Amino acid sequence: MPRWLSIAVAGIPGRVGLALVAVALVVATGGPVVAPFRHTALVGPILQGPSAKHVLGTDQLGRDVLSRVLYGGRSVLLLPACAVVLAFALGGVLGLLAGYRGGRIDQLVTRAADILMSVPPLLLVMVLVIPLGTSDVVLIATTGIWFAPRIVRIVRAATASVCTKDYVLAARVRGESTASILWNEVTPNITGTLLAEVALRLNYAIIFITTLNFLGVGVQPPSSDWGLMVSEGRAYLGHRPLISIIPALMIGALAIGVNLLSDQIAAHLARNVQESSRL
Amino acid sequence: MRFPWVRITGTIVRRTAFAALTVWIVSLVVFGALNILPADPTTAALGPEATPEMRAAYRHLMNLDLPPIPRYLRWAGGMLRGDFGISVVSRNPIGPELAQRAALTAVLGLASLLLSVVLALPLAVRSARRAGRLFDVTISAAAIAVSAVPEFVVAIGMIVVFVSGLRAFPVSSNGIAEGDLGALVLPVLTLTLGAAAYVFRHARVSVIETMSAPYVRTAVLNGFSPARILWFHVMPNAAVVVVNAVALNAITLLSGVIVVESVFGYPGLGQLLVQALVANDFPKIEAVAVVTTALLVVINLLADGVVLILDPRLRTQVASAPR
Repeated sequence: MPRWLSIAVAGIPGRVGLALVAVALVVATGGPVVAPFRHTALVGPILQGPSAKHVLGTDQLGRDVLSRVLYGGRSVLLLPACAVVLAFALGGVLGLLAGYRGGRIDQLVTRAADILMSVPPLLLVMVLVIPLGTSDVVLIATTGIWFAPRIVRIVRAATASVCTKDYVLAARVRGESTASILWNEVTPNITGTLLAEVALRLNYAIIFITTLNFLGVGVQPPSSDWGLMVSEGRAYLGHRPLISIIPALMIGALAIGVNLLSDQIAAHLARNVQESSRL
Repeated sequence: MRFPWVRITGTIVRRTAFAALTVWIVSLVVFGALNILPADPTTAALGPEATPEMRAAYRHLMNLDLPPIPRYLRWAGGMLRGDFGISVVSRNPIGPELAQRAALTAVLGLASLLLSVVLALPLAVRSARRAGRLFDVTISAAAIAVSAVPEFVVAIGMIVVFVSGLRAFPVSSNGIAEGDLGALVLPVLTLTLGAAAYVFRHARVSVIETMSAPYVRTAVLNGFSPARILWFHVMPNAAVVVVNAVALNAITLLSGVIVVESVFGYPGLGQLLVQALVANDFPKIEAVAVVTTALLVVINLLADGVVLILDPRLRTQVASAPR
């Protein structure tokens, strides 16, 4: 069993979290396959309640709510995941360099990271989409860039502590290049610490991107992204609450699942402070 | 120990400078984002039948005939003097509207911050003392649920429970502007829950750790009553973590405020921002973005100040960088 999986299922919260995330994954990837209708198809009278043909009813344009929910998971999972990958790629490289080299580069990178972290993200992204548009690439890029500074700090701290170890010194004496040292000696030994951070960042990314979609500055209609659906269904909460409630519950389940997983991993790491180094 | 005036002043100056830097950077980014577009705003503002003279006059009024840097300086200088520009949509000056809305947003933010502590602290202490038992497990699970989900999910939940379910509060109203405090309840409650969950988790950990510290064990062995131990030994140290957590919340509060005002129709700066964005009212977007950032940065500074005063240990440490 892969290591991260065995950590995850070690405790009850971890198992619940894993189950929730698995459900969300299944819905997101397999949803469009089993959906009875396409998410943009106008298939019935508007604002109908649950029925045999439309298990969750129809929305304000006459689209099947169940199908829209099944189609909507992709953006909720894919966009935050890509943003986190980007953030770790950017932040990881900068953090490794800063932690390994120290001195000027370290100061420069840390200062830049601090400044970037102190600006309000939601506000800026809402304004930046005006010139940049709301394409998936823009959303991933802005979210990833905003998360990168925090990862820079974490990677830098972890790298700095690893760089005091003997095997790094040995590699340097051997004449290995910086890139080789960072990749072969440092990275394998900081992945443990990073694992908890990955899950936590994923949680924040999901919150951030679904909030953007909810506010209308993210994914646009007629996409059936869950955040967007919650926003569109707001006006009908009294009459047909399912249009908003079901996507909201899905987002909630996914977010809680990811959070439980990250707590589980963090708790595991706190117990095993001593990491064995790979030689 | 003498009160370290010099160090505290240094820390305050540094934090204030950093706060000013934040507002300045936001102003740069917002101005840059909204001014690199090549589209000619005169058509949108004046309509397609405007004469060239009208367009030139409009451009001069809006400083659009200046190159970017002088335009930025004129805009920023104007704001520092209290002139926040003129809305493209309403043709009215933006300033007066900002004042009332800023007050409303400030009320929302501060009320939520305060209530989050009032709610979270007693729960955290209780949970810590009954760690692992039913009360703790239930409340901790609730805290995880609330802090993991986006604010708008909590907001929708509030609406479903209180408005559709209990029919207790209005969903959206301008009521607050007319002094109806009932309109405050749901927005404040939504923000409070989110912030309280965060404070709760940190405070609970802090109390648990403090309770197992040697000096607490000494106090117990000395025969002090549980109440005295709680108040004199455990709480002061836990309180520091709590106030720190609260201070951290002040920045995430900005995102929460925008969402909550939008969902509940609360007439504050967040709602104004969303309206301005929808209407593509650039001067208004610029002004609201900067003012909202400034407001929450100030609230953050105040919270940081409280932390500084309360914790003797922090005064002697180098000021940590913002999170």
